[in-house]
Amino acid sequence: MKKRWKIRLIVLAVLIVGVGGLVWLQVDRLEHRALRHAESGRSAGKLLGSLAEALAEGRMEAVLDCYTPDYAESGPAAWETTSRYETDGLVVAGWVASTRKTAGREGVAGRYRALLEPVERFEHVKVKLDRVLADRGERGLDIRSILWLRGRHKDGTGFESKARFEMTLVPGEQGHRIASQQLISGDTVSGPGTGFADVAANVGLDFEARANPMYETEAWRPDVFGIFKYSSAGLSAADYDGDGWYDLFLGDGARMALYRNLGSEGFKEVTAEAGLPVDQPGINVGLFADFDNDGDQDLLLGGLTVSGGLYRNDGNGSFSRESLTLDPLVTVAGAADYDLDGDLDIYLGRYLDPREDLPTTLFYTRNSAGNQLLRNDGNLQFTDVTEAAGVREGGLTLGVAWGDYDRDGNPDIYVANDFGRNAMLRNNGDGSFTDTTLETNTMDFGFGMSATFADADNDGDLDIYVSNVASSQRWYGQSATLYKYLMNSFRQGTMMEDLPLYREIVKFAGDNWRNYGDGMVKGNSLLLNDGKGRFADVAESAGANPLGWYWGSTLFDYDNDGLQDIYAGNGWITGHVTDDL
Amino acid sequence: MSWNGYEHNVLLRNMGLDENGVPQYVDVAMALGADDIGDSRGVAAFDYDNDGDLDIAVNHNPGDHGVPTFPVVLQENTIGQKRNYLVVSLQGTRDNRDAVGAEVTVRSGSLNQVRLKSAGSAYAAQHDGRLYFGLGDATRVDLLTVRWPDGTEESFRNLDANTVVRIIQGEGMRLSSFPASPQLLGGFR
Repeated sequence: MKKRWKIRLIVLAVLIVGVGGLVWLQVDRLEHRALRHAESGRSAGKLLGSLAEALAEGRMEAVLDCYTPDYAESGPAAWETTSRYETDGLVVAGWVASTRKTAGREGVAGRYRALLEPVERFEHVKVKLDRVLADRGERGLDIRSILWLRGRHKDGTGFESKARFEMTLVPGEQGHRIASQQLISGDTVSGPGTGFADVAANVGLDFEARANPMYETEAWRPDVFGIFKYSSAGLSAADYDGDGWYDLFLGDGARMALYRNLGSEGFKEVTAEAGLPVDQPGINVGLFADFDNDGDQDLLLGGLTVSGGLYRNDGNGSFSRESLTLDPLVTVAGAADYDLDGDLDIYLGRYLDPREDLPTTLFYTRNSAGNQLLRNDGNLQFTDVTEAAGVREGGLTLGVAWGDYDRDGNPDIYVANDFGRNAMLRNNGDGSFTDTTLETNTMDFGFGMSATFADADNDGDLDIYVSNVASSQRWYGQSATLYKYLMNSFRQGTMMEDLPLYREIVKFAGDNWRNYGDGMVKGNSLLLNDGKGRFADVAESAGANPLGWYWGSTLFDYDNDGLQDIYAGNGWITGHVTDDL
Repeated sequence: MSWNGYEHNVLLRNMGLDENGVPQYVDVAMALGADDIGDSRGVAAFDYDNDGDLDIAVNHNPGDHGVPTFPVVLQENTIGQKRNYLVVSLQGTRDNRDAVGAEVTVRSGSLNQVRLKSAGSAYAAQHDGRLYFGLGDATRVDLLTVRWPDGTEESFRNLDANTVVRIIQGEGMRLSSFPASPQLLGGFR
């Protein structure tokens, strides 16, 4: 009997070692592939850097050195520009593939000369390795590159050109060279630089953003997750005095402020005389709504490092504090009548406590302080119904939007999570919500920082625009290895917890590991609703995912032509180094 | 610090749908002077000067660039007012008074546009509470339909462009206007 057990144990041990070894070999193979990927990427990046430098200096010989001696250009490799649109001083020229046959390197030289000809000076010349499409080692690699130029034309207008290419690179003695290229898309936009003008200083809007002093104190030093410091601040337009001139509320790290719009006399700060907290740090969001249906706009303040609360509009230009007090760590707030009882309820997006927690697994962070749904019971009394409604959403939320995406009459919630995948919460109409992220195809696991419902394509249903990060060097994300990721999940102890998520993610994004890192930094999403409540992200083909790190964004029709345009605010941490990473 | 260099706020102009029904956008921020650079956070679209187009305000994080402050930006739009518009403000009676959740559809010629009345969204932002419709060259709205939060609908026909209308749930529509400027000080209602 004893011997039998021994044998069993030995067999089991061999099995464990064997399976472990196989897993390790597989991980090692992936790791090896990732390392090679990184190596090729670096070499390709260097080549594109040389191309950018040569273009900036107008040295055509050096430009051509980036191409193989037997580079042959024909068919779609050539491109030309066509005028597509001209209005309001704006000239938009599209780059289109040309069928004109041109010979080899001279063809490329001619193309670049035509591009440089109208340019007086460049302010910015970049050629970036966007993605590695295929890596064949010694036999070369296929990439996608981004050419990005900005400067001034000889006629005085400013211009910006962006084009995407697919290229095949082959290794040589001095690194990789371009063996073939094909234009995917490109635009040159030029204009007078007028049409919009920052008038804040002229109209008395003298507000200046400041850091939150609480972060320097023992009580709130965000030791564990320091980037939290850079989260503020929101702002709200509302007609709090009911005079038809929209006023402006500004959240801030150091002190929130309310500016009253006095029409032609400009804005005037009224924080104190409106009875609102003065010199109050950490208020990130102000939500104006007529919570008591008495005809004026009440104000809900949400704080990061402080407990916000509700202020009743007295109808005479001042606010009074009501009993509703919020928990801190509120990043964003939205109102809707989710139970259709005639008054406005509140959904709060929240972050994690940066003094105690790091986000768990990137794709599926669930350790936020928890979002909250507050039901309006009348008389400015609210009840926290988060658990009953099932809308806690544990991702680190920065964007929320209410909208009836499935047109069943009940307002649903879309949540954009910075860390953690985004979520669609369908309102069942009985006080509960169901997570329909997968079936609506709205997972979007980028670093979500804003969400907006709007009809982008004028087809009558609500689409969604989400702010994310777009890197012109997505290949860095592609080279994030499975090994590193697994080690990370293991270290954080979330591996087992994450297993159900892997199934979800694989269903959503397929099993090619590269798609994940790539998807994290693919930029803003434009989720078009098919009218049946299923969405498709068309940002790439729509040109709606510009390079950058976007926070607040919105759809609006700036030129009143009937089509909804997009404004998106960009910026992570402005430091001394202003160039790209 | 950036991922791409020259990272700026973008204004993506909708150039219309492609053959697959996907709207096509081009960044015109630099060409029109809206390419601010800063650590942008909240963005709000509102018609601060009541001229019929939406302006943009941006709030920031001060960043780490050695200066501890960063001024708020108010980008005044001087383009939209060259074209026709309709401004709609809503008031709920059976529904919440702000009519949050209502959707308004406007038809002018062959173009249908929808606006959702919201309160708080995006990143910690709130936009103009009135609904702005650009009409281009159209001088008239053929049909305006409100779908109130409770699911009931009301329709109005043949509205003049460049007007402000106020619709009260169940009580119809009346022509309104932007307030006179300069406003009467102390004019609290």
